[in-house]
Amino acid sequence: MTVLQPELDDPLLARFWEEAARNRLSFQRCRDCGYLRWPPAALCPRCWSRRAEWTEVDHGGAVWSFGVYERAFDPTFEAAVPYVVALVELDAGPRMIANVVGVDPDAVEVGMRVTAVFEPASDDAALVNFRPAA
Amino acid sequence: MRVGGAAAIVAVGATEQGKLPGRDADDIAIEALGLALEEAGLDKDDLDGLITCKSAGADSGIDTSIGRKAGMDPAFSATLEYGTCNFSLHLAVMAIVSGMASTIGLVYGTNQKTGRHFAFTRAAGDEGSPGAPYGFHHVAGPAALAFRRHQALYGTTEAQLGRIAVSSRKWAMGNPLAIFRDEMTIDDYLASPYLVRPVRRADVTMISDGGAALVVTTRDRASGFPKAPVYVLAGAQQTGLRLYQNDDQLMRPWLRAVADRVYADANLTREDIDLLYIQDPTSVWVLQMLEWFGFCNVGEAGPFLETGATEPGGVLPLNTNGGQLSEAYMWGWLHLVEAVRQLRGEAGERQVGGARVALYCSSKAFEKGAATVLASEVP
Repeated sequence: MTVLQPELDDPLLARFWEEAARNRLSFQRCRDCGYLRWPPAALCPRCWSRRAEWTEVDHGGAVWSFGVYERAFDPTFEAAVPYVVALVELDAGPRMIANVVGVDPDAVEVGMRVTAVFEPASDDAALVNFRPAA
Repeated sequence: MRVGGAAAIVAVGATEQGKLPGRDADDIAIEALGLALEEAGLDKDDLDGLITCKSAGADSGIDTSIGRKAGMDPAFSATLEYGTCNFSLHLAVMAIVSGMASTIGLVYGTNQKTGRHFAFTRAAGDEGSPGAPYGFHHVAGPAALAFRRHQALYGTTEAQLGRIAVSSRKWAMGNPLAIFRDEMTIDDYLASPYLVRPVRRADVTMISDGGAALVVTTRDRASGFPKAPVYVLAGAQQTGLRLYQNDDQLMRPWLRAVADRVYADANLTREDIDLLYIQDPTSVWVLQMLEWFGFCNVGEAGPFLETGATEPGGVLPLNTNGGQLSEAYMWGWLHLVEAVRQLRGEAGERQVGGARVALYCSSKAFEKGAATVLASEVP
């Protein structure tokens, strides 16, 4: 799978990719209400607290739904076609857009159990993808 | 919002649609406004309100720029940074009912086709979970996820979804303004390649250049124009701004609230709707809104579409202009232009006989929904 460099200009988002580069799936947990923020943010969207700590969460989740890109809209992805993009509902709470890898696109199903895998994009950033759970 | 005919659309204008090379987007917008003013028999200085729409992905369409270029100093002006015209129409009605303005020009123009500034490498709702590094590009992406989920829950087939694009094309074949008028059968549809499986090219609008405009005024003034007024009976909105913080966000279940409010405020039910317009950047949005607005039960849009109800001659004429799928992109503005022309009985070979009440449903991707009920007379 071709890897596009994730956005590193936003320091909070960069922290997420940096955690992934260390094989950690981490989110900001609100210090006041416990809500896991995704995307990363200075403010808790539930209670408006500004206090948070990065917390590693379980790697498990389920495919809410997915699509199979048969065409690349960005030349970076031409070699990757066909590739799977899914909305994954993590057991920990956040819902993430990511690729489902390590499986034939025709074998992916709505509701499929998946687990996070980390795809290095540079020395200090990795994308969080998912593969079918064992 | 109960309007009860307190505001009315008294003129519409639409430019040529497709490719307008070398034209500035604001220039196209002003051309459309000129066409609407001509139909209204008004001069630009007769407008005391101007509501513009920012062109997607560009800096054009701002009220301050259009006012300067068009040489206008209206009492009230505003810009919305999203289209469909439903939101713009609601703002116009609020301005009129509150007395901020009495006769308002609403306008949108874009050169996004030949100007090549539309970013397909971002998908709608990208702010809710960064998608670009994963190749989650183009509106076809979220549409594919939403439709796949519908298939998994309800058994909806690709052939059922395809009936939306086929229905739109049949209507477009009777519309001289439409860009896509070649016949398309369901077999043609099924034989065409996917963009993002299970969504095909024909399920997604094509970017195009063009302009559209409306003139909206008070009920008292509405009868004094060359064309018969089309009254606003009700408008409603609901947002889903939390994006993926919400359950099932791509299914947009919060659109149900728009339906409940707009029917109640119009004092009508779905059986009273003669003409249905659903803004359709993708066919999947149509599938969803047929359900959320109660034209079939949730999960049953597939079998409903198979009856042919939405096609010419069907019981529920839908997007009689061909919609964004076959007429033109125009961010949904032409749906309102078409609704007005149908309610006036001016739609030529695609005219729906006896049509008196129209419903227009639209959305700003996964962030907000709106609907308006229009009628040729006040009940």
